[in-house]
Amino acid sequence: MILTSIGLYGIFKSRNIIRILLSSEIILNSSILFVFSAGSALGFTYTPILFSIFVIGMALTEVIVAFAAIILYYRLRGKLEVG
Amino acid sequence: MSLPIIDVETPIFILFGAFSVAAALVIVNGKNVFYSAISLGVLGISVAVLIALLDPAAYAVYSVLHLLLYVGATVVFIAISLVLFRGLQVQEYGVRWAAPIATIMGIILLAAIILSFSSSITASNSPIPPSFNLSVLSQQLLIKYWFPTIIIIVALATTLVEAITLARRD
Repeated sequence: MILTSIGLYGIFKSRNIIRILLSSEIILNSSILFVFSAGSALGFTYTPILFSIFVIGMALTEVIVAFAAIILYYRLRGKLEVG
Repeated sequence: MSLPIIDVETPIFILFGAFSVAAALVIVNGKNVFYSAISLGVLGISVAVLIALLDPAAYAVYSVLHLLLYVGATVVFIAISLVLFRGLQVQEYGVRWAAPIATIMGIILLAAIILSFSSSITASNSPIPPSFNLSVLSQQLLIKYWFPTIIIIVALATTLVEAITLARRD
């Protein structure tokens, strides 16, 4: 919960694209931790692992695609601030 | 005379919980983005340890996977990509309403989680989890969830091609 709030705070506060991406990664980590906590509390063994494997794979893809877009944005604008 | 059994898991859990919160604060408030990326690695390691401590018999495999795939690939990729931005000057402008909005959204999320948890726990009988078996996990991944697995494989292969294209471009 605390991690999610910190990630949301980082997304709202920052205008730097990379820091917004890093803040979204905080929320991703907190959601994975929550899924495992819920799985442990409710007695699920494989569901949190399978869910998180897919989430981590998509997160890796998302980070690389986002960085490609950020690099192109930096080449066009010469800055990383938005808004 | 028997020695007293000391529970070491709880202090380690609290310690790494504090580490994760501190790393998240450094990511959000750090002046240099590169150090924020390194702090994301610390956060990933802390989360992997916390997951392993939740149920060591069942979740240790995923904890290792989290360390290898997330910390080893994603965070290192972010840190290395930041080197591409030569002479990067980061200017931050504070937004006044960021803290109250994040707090309100956090409270709403907490209320939703508590409500969903209370209804789920009362509905189920909290079954005892079976022992972890890697072959069962592989079977579920390749037989039951074959379509998402293919999607992930294609996405990662596409990402590999994209990374090569980016690296070859001036």
